[in-house]
Amino acid sequence: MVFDWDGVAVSGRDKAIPHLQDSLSRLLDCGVLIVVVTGTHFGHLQHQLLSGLGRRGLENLFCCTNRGSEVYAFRDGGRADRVYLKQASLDDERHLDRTAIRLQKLIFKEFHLDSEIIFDRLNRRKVDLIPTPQWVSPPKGSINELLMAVEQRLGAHEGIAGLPWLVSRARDIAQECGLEDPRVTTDIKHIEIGLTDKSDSSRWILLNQIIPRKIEPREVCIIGDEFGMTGGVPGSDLLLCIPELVSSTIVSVGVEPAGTPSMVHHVPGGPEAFMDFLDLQLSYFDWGLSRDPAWLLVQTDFDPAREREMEALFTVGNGLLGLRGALEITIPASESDLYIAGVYDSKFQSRPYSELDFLTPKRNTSRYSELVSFPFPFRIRIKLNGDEIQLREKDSSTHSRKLDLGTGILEVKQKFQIDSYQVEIISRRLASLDDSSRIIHEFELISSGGRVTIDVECGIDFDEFQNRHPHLLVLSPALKQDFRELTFFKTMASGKLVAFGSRMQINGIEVQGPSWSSILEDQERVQVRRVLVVHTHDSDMEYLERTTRERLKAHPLKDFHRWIGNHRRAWSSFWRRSDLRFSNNQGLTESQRFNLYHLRIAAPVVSGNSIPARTLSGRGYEGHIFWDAEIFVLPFFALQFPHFARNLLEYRYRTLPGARRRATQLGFRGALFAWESTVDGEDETPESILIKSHSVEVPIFTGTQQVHVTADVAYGVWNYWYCTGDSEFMRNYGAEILFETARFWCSRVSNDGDQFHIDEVVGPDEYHHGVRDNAYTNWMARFNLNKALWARDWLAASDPEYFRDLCLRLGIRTEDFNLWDVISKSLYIPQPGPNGVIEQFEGFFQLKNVVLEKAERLKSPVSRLLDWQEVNASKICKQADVLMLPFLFPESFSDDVIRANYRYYEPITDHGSSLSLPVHAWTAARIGAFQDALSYYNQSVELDLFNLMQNTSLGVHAACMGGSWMALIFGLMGVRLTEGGPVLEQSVRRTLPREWGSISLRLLFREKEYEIEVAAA
Amino acid sequence: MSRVRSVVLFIRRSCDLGTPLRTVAWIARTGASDVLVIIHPEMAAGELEVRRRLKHAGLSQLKTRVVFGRHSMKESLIRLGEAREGERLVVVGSKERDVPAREILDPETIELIECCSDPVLLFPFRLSEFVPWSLIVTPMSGEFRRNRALARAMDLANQLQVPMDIVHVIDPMQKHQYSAKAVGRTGDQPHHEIQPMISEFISAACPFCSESEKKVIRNFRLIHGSAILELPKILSDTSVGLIAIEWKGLFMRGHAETLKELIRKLRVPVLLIRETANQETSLRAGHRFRAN
Repeated sequence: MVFDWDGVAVSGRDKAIPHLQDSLSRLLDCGVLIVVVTGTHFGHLQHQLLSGLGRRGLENLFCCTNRGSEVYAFRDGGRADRVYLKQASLDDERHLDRTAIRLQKLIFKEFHLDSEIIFDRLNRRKVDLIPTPQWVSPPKGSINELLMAVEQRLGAHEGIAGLPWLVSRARDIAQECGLEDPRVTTDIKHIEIGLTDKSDSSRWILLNQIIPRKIEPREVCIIGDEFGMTGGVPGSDLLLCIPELVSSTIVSVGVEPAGTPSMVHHVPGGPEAFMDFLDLQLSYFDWGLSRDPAWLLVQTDFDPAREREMEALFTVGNGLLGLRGALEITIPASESDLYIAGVYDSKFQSRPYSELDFLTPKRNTSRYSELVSFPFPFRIRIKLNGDEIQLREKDSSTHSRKLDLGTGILEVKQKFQIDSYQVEIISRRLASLDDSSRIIHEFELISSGGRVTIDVECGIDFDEFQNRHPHLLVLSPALKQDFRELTFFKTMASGKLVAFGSRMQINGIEVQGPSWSSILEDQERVQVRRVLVVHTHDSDMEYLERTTRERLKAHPLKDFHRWIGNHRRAWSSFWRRSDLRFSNNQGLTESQRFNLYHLRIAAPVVSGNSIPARTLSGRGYEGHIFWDAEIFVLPFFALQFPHFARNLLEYRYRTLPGARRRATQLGFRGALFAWESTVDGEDETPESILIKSHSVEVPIFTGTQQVHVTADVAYGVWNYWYCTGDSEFMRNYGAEILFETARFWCSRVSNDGDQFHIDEVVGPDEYHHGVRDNAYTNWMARFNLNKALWARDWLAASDPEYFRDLCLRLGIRTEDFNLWDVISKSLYIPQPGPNGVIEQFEGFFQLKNVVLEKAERLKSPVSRLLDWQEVNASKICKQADVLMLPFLFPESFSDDVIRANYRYYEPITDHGSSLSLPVHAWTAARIGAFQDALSYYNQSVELDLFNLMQNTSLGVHAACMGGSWMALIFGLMGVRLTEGGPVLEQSVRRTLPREWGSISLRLLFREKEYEIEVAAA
Repeated sequence: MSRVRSVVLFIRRSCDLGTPLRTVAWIARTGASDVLVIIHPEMAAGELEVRRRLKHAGLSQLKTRVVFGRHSMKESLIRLGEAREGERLVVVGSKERDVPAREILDPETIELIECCSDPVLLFPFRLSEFVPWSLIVTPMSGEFRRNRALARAMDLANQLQVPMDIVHVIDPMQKHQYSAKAVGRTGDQPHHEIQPMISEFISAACPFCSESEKKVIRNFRLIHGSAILELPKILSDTSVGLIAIEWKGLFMRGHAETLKELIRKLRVPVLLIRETANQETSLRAGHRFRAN
C-alpha cells in the first residue's frame, strides 16, 4: 500500500492520529508492505506517525520523503535507517538555484507579481506563487479556493495561460540552466523544481521491495489525493503511477475538482475515506466471512442423519491436509477426520470401518491399502458447573456452519441451553494455503444466564480412538514444553510417523493446553486460539520431533492475523484466475465455485501426491487414486495452475517401479499402472468380495482387466505437455512414462495374423468384463503408442545424449520402436458401422436387449452388481464408454457419428458412476441436444451439493467436479485448444440458454493467460 | 446411548404373565432402577397371584412398585408424565393370536400404543419361552434418515448384551425402490459401494450411537422380495428373541399392515417405536436454498 501522507492520511501535521497509527500498526503486523510518500522531510513523519506505531512489523514500513529523494526503513526495534538518498552535486544545487531565480524573475516580468523562493529543500526549490498571509498554509480541502486565488493573480494578464504555462516554462528554464532531467510539479501554491519526484519513490519501492517480495503489481494499491488535472496541470500523485505499476489499484480520496483519470477510483472524503479504506484492508486479515452470499455455503438447522454429508461438504484443506467440517461439539456418528495426502496403511479386517464386517474382500497384503484417518484436532469439551455439554437427541441446541468459498474459512456456531445457562461457541478454522502444514483455529465462548464455573478442554479427539482410527498407534503421551503440545502417531503397518504440534492462547495469553477452568460472569467471553502444525516422516522419530519443535517455535501466536492474511491472499490469487461467472445465473456460478473450491483444496502441493477419487474429504474409495485424476481432474489444473497438474503426473512417475512390477506379475512388459493406486504403484483392487447375506461371491475384474488406466496416464502426460509446453517435464518424466506404457501395450496385444487385438479387458463401462477390442481401450492404446513414438523423435532431436542414456537405462532398442510403429498401425480400432455407431467391444451388439427405466438412472439397483453374469450378457452400460472417445478426441469424429453413438448408448446407460454425467453433458452439447446437455450439466455440477448419488458423506466426487468444468468449457462453450491458444469452436452450435447470460473465465495456455467470454446467442 | 432406566408393565387378565415378568426382571437387572407394575382393575382379585409371580420372576428383590390401576392404560401412562428419550420402556401384552389382523389388539392396547412416545414392548399371547433373547432384529426401510427403532433397539441390545441384525427388504416390484435416498441402489463396483454405504446408512439411522455401541450389530441382511412375505421367514428363525419396528403410530384399517401381519404370526415380542419428525438441515449454496 503506497500512499501520500498530507491530505490522504492526515489533514494537518499537528493532529494526533491514534486510530490511524493503530490501523497501520495492525496492517504492518499482518505483513502488509506500507509505503508512506511525502514531499516533506522525515522529521515531520517521525513526530506525527512513528512515535505512536507499535514495534511489530516495522520491517514492512518504508517512508519515502523529500519528494522521492530519500527512503527510510526500520530495523532493530524501530530504529530508522535512511536506505536511500539522492545526493545532489554542487552543480545540481547551482542549477536549481539559478532555475528558481530565473523563474521568479519571469513571474515578475510577465505577471508583475511578487513571489518567494524556498531554498532549504533537499534536491529542489519551491517558488511560492501566492506568498500572502491568507495563503501561508492552505488546507488541502481548500484547493478550489486556492486555485481561484492563484488563477486570479496569474489570469489578469492576457495571452499567457497561467499555471500550465508557468510549469512548462519552468521546465524549459531548468534545462537551459543545465538540469538534464528536471522534475517540475505544482501544488497550485508552489512551482517546484527538483531532481526527483514521487515517481522515484515508486520506482525505488518497486525494485527494492515489491519485486523481491514477489508482490504482483495488481496486489499494490496506490492512494493519493491529487491525480486529476488541477489548474490545467496533472496532479502530482499521478507520478506515483509509474508504468510498471499501472495495473495497481489506484484510489483518490482528494477533492479532484476536474475529476480523475479513468484508471483512478475516486472516493472523496480525505483522511476519513482513507481510514475506511484501511479498515477494509484490515478486514482481509481477519476471519471476517464474505458478506456476499454468492461466496457462501451455509447450513442452518441440524439433522444429525445428514451430519456426515455436511462434514464432507464443509471440508477445509490445502492439498496436503483435509479436515472435514465437523462440529467442535458433535454427535457420536460424526466422521470428524483429518486426512494427510499420501499417508496410507493396511486395511485391518478385525477393525473395519463398517462394523458389520459385511464383506470379506480378498485383498493383497499391501501396507498402503487405504487412506489413514487421523483424529479431529479441534474437539472442545465444556463443563458448566461440572456438567458436560453434550449434543443429545431432542435437545434444544442449535448448530450452523458457513463456509466462505472465497477464502476457505469455515465458521461454526453452536448454542446450548443447560438449565438456566446458555452457552454459545463461535469457531473459525482454516487449512493454510500458504503453509500447507498449518491449520489454525479460533473460538469464542460466551456464557449467559449468570455466574458459572466452566471447565474447557480442547484438542485432539481421542474418543473411541481405536474404533475410529484403527490404523494409528499413539506413540507417546503429549509432551509439553514451552507451552507447546506434541502428539505422535505411527501407522500400524506402513510405519509412517506423524506429529501434531500445537500452541494455544486464551484471551491473548499463551497457555499450556489443552484444558483450563475459570469462573465466568454473565455475558463474559473467552477467546481461544490454536495453531496446529502437522509433519510426517517415514522412519526417523528423532528428526520428526526436532523439526516439529522447530516449526512450532517458528509459529508464535502473535502471527495469527498474518497467517490469516497470507492465507486469504493465496485464495485471492487462486480465484483471480479460476473464478467462472455466469452473468445471469447466480446459481450455476455458485455451484461451479463450490466445485472449484473443492478441486483447489485437493490439489497436491507436494510432487508425488495425487488426488483420491473422493479427495481428502471422506473415506470413500479408501482414498484410492484412479484414472479420474488424469482424465477428469488434470485438464482443469493444466489450464489453470499447471504445477498441480505436474504434481499429479510426478505421482505416476513415482509409482512407475510398482507399475513395472505389476506388469511383470501379470506376464507383461513395460509398466501397467494400478487401477486402484495408493503409494507404491501396487494395485489395491480386491479379487472378489463375499456378500454374506446372499452367500454370493462377486469377482472383481477391474484390477486385472481395466488396463486402459495405463493409456490414460499417457494421455495425461501428453495433455499436460500440450497445454504447458513443459519440456523439462517431458524430458525427465514424461518420455519415460510414454516409453514404458508403450512397451506394456506391445506385450498386451494379441495378433490374429492381420491385425492386433486386445483381449480380456474391462472398459470404462465396468458392467462388462473379459471383452475383446473395447473401442476406448484400443483407441487409447494406439494413442499411447503414437505419443511414445513422438516422444522418441522429440527427445532424440532435443537432447540426443539424454535420449541414448534413457534407452540404455530402459533397455529399449530400435526394434522396440519399430514394433510400436507396426502395432500402432495395425491395432484393430472399432469403426462406426453403417448407422454410425461404434461397437463398444466385439459382440456388444449381440447382447441381450434390456429396457432401462428412467428411474434407474443414477440409482441402479444393487441386483445389478450381484447378478453380474446376467448384466455382463446384457446391453446395459454403467457409464460413458464409446462416448469417452469424442469427449477426449473431439476433432476425430464428425457430428453425425457422435450423434449416432449418443442416441444409441445414452438410453442404455444407467450412470452408475458420476463420471458419466459430464461426458454426456459434453456430448449432448456437441450434437446440439441442448436440453439433454443442460440436464446432464446441471446434474454433474450439482452432484455433491444436492447429494444426487446419496453418498457425498463419503467425500466429494472430484472427477465429476473436474468433468463438469470440462463439459462447460469444451462442450457448452465450445472452446478448442489449438497451437495458437484457445479458440471458440465455430462448428459447435452454441445456443447457451439465454438465462445464463454470458460466461467468462480465464485459461492459462503455454504460460499465456487468455480471457474468454461466451454470450448466449 | 440411552439406557432403559424405568419400566412400566401393564398386567391384564387376558395376558400371559410369565414371560413378560421374566423379561422385565432381566431388563431391570441390567440397569432399570425403577419398575412400575400397573395391574388392571379387572385383576383386583388376583393381587396375590401377581405378587407371587413377581417374586418368582425375581422382581420383588428389585425396586418394584405395584399399583392397581384405576384408569385406562393410556390415562395411566399420561399421568406418569414424559420420560427422557429412550429411558422408559412400556410393556404390555396382546390378546390371542390367529385372529384377523384388525382384531389382533384390543382397543385399549391400541389406544396405548398409538399415544405412547416411549418404546412399547408388546408380547404376543402365549409366547414361547425366549428369555434371554439371543438376537434382536430390526427391519429398516432403507431410506437414509434417522430411525428411532434402530437407535432404541441398539440401546437395548447394548444394555442386555444381545446381538442384533438389521434387515432391509428390497421389493423389486415397488418403483420407490429407486428412491435417491435409499440404500442398496448403486452402480459402482460392489467393493467400493456396498460396505461404506451400509455403514453410512446405519450412521444416518442412529447418529447418536457410537462405534462401540454399533458393534452389537451382527449382520445386515439385504433381502429381495416382498416385506410382508420375507420378514416372517427371517423371524421364524428360532434365535430371534425380539423384533424392533419403527411405525407411524396409526393402527387403523389401511395402516401398519406389515406390522399387524407380524404381530399376528409371530411368537416373539415386538418393540414398537413411533416415528417422529426430525428437524431437517437446510443447505444454502450462495443464493439458493436446497429444500430437503
